[in-house]
Amino acid sequence: MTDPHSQRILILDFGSQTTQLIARRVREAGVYCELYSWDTPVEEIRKFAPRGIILSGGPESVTAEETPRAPREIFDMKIPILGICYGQQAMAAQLGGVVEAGDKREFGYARVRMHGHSKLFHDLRDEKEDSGAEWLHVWMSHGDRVTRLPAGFKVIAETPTAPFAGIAYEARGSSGIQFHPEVTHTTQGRAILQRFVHDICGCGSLWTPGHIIESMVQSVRAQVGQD
Amino acid sequence: MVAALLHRAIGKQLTCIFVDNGLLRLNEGDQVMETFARHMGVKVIRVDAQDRFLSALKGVADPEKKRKIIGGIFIDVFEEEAAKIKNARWLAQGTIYPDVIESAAAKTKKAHVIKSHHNVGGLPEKMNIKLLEPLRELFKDEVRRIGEELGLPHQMIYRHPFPGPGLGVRILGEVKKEYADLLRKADAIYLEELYRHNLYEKISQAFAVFLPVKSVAVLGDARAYDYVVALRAVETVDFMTANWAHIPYEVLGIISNRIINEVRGISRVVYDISGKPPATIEWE
Repeated sequence: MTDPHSQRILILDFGSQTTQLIARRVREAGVYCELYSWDTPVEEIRKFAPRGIILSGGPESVTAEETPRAPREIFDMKIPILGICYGQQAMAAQLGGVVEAGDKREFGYARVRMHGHSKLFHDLRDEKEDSGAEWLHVWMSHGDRVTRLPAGFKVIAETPTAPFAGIAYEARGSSGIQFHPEVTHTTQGRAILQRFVHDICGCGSLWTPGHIIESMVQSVRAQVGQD
Repeated sequence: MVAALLHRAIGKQLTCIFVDNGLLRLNEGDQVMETFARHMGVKVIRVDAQDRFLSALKGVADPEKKRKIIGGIFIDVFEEEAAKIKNARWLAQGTIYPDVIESAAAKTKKAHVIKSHHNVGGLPEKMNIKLLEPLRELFKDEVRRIGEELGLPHQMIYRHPFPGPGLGVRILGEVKKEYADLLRKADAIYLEELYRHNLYEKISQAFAVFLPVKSVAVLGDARAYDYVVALRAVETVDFMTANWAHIPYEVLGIISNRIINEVRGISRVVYDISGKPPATIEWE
């Protein structure tokens, strides 16, 4: 039997109100995932052996000192990483980019213009203009923004207040997005997360009720034995 | 759900203990036995402990004390029954993934507003028994999908949450059998009408609350002085915040009418229109 846990995603939690929603969306995509705190020792992350890591949003500011960061080593693990909101900013800052407090904050609905046919957004759009410009309708909640890209990253989406609303280092499969794909207000959010876990991380849809039951039954039997 | 899953995994090695504390909803005990024992062939021991719970609750009005008494007797009864089973080594519990996440967060300083989840308190240590938590990786909606896959009845899978102390916290103040019987009948009518009007699954949680106050009514030509029941219905995603449900007036009218006509001892029905926060979903 295929173990439905075998192809899995790790979500590093920076404390966002919507982190559990990320996990729900990944599970709905048929992929097993677990939520770990951002300060989890890297050995535990290696042991978990995820095919990809998602960095959640969070209430703190990357521009302040002593705010949470991901364990540095995950960026050398050669697996795709998706940073969301604070997660994007932390990733950008840790890889040599710059994050600043914007004078304009963005909360709620926003239109994001996509650039250059990224893997993450390929074929996804909510709006297309005659000029060829393509837009996503998303939900934002941020004050800070990335203002200088880390080496190797390019822009894949922008808004007037967040010129780097989406960034990617495609050769590594890593992306960062300023908006929240896990909330239903981001129309294509579910598709974006599916794109990440299936196409970019290469996880199949193994997490299905049938497989889950089979695996739970086996694990209960293994635990209990003849007791 | 846990029972169904364990039954599939270990069959005859599973014994379920079902404690009837006298604070269950109408016919609930029979339904549990019907589903598990008859349809699924699970070995279930039903313990009728109504008198024990009710006599311990006599004269106790403080909600926290009531909860402690109910929880304590549950553990005692469970322990007594488990001791009768030869070599019981495992205790299964319905912990789900959000409980695991919350407990993990509670262990570190990052916890903000978190409560600990322990369905059976300190029972495992006390009984020298190991804990089995087959649902601990799952979110609630996944548990429901698995329930469907296991072929459990739809109504059971989509049932609203019911508190551990049961009607004990839905009867305000002192708990008496008389009150519990009245509340059971009113609550059953309420839920029946919600099902009939296709509202039950649109609402996150609905129940009746027994208020131990009397108000005047004129029934026929006689003056009656009977009890009051409050109806509560909320809509919520996560049970942390909730809005009161906008049940159509006509439906509320039907429910109120039926309760007053059919439940002798209740002569007034009121609808709770408080949001959470500040009003919690349960009244106690």
